[in-house]
Amino acid sequence: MEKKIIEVKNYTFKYPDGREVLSNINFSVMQKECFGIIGANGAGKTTLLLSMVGILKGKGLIKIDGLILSEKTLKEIRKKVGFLFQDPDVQLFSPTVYEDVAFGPINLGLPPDIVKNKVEHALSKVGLSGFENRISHHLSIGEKRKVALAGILSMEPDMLLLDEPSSGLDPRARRELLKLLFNLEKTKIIATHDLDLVNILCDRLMILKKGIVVWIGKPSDILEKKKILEEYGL
Amino acid sequence: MKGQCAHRKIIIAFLSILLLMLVPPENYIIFIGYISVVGIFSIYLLPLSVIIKRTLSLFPFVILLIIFLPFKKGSIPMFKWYNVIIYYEGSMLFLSILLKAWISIMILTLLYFSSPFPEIIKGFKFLGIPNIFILLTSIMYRYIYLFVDLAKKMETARKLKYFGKNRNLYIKMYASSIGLLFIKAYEKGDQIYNAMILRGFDGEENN
Ligand SMILES: Nc1ncnc2c1ncn2[C@@H]1O[C@H](COP(=O)(O)OP(=O)(O)OP(=O)(O)O)[C@@H](O)[C@H]1O
Ligand SMILES: [Mg+2]
Repeated sequence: MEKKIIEVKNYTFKYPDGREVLSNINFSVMQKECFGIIGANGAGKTTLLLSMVGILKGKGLIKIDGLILSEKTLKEIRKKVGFLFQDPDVQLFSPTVYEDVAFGPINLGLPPDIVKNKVEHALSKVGLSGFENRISHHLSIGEKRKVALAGILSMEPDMLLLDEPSSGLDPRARRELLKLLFNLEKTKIIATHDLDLVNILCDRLMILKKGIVVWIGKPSDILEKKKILEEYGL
Repeated sequence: MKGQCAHRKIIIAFLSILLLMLVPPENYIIFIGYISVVGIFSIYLLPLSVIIKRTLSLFPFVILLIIFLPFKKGSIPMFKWYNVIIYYEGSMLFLSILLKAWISIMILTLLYFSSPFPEIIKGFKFLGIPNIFILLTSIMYRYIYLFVDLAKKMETARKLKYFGKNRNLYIKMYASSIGLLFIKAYEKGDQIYNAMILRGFDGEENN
């Protein structure tokens, strides 16, 4: 955990309607670190994550694994980063589970037998072996989220950006997800409202309030301070 | 190739639709023949209520597209009311397009219900249809589900919010929710596209 793998410097973002949703954001994430981003609804978590993969473009510097995010490095950076959307319906667009998980590896240009291997491996990792021929949109939310995660893992990215990975999951599915994420040896950035999840998984925590970073530190240092958390809308 | 492949059904379905398109507008007999053949087949495979629901739900869109035909096309007036003239040819065309659309939808419904979607996709692949079209088809297929889902949720929300008997208010709510539906559908489409490029999609064929 020595090397800085993600750096965000003086990042500011405005939506086209002119509202500044992120103001002068600064933080960095170490290799293999689990970094939590928490904040009330509308604090700007999703906006920040989408900015880090160049879907949204604001002012400031974003550096990922030595590359400065720009039109030129976009493709390279996106290969290194797996992105889990808040809404799994957005992420599953292929008719069957197999095809969905295979979508990434196929786009990486891998030969069919390797694609097949990766799909099987990823599905077994999320505990969905045997789901290959299921129809994606007929799955439960928990299953959809797992398939979406498998679709990212099959590309073997170095970093994971996860937007509310535990929302809509029942307690058991949530525990399984926690275990799965805990055992993944990758750099992880998790945006969530789930304080318990952050406490278990994350090495460090950043609190966003109305687009401003108000706190960065160890989860154990803040999570007991209920009063302060409440002030931040958590 | 795992499972079944629906390429025969696809060919038959598309050939029958093609043939249907070639029928001239005035040829009732062939239409009736078509309807009865398709009808008999569908009743064997599906309950009548399903066929009617599925096929008629698309009717408004077709009608919207061709509603002006009877007023614009032709030279023999069939009906006249002040300045409004309904022509014979236009009306025939209108009816025949409506019928053709209905039968085509029936055929596609049959295709859809007689084989699972993955098999249809395999059939497309087997027939050498380019991947980008297959991808588009499958996204459209998913998108329709999302769209219907969204519409249903909004309908429920609207019903929960509407109590009184104020007809005008209801119509206003209805109209604005249709607008909202389109905006939401557009945003969903945008997000789906983002999700695709984040997994390495660049619109090229790869496999
Ligand atoms: N496309 C958009 N256009 C304009 N404003 C937007 C858009 N998307 C989000 N916003 C606004 O930006 C702010 C931050 O939104 P964002 O989705 O990043 O919050 P979030 O922290 O992810 O919230 P949640 O916990 O609800 O997911 C909100 O006030 C939201 O209304
Ligand atoms: Mg969000």
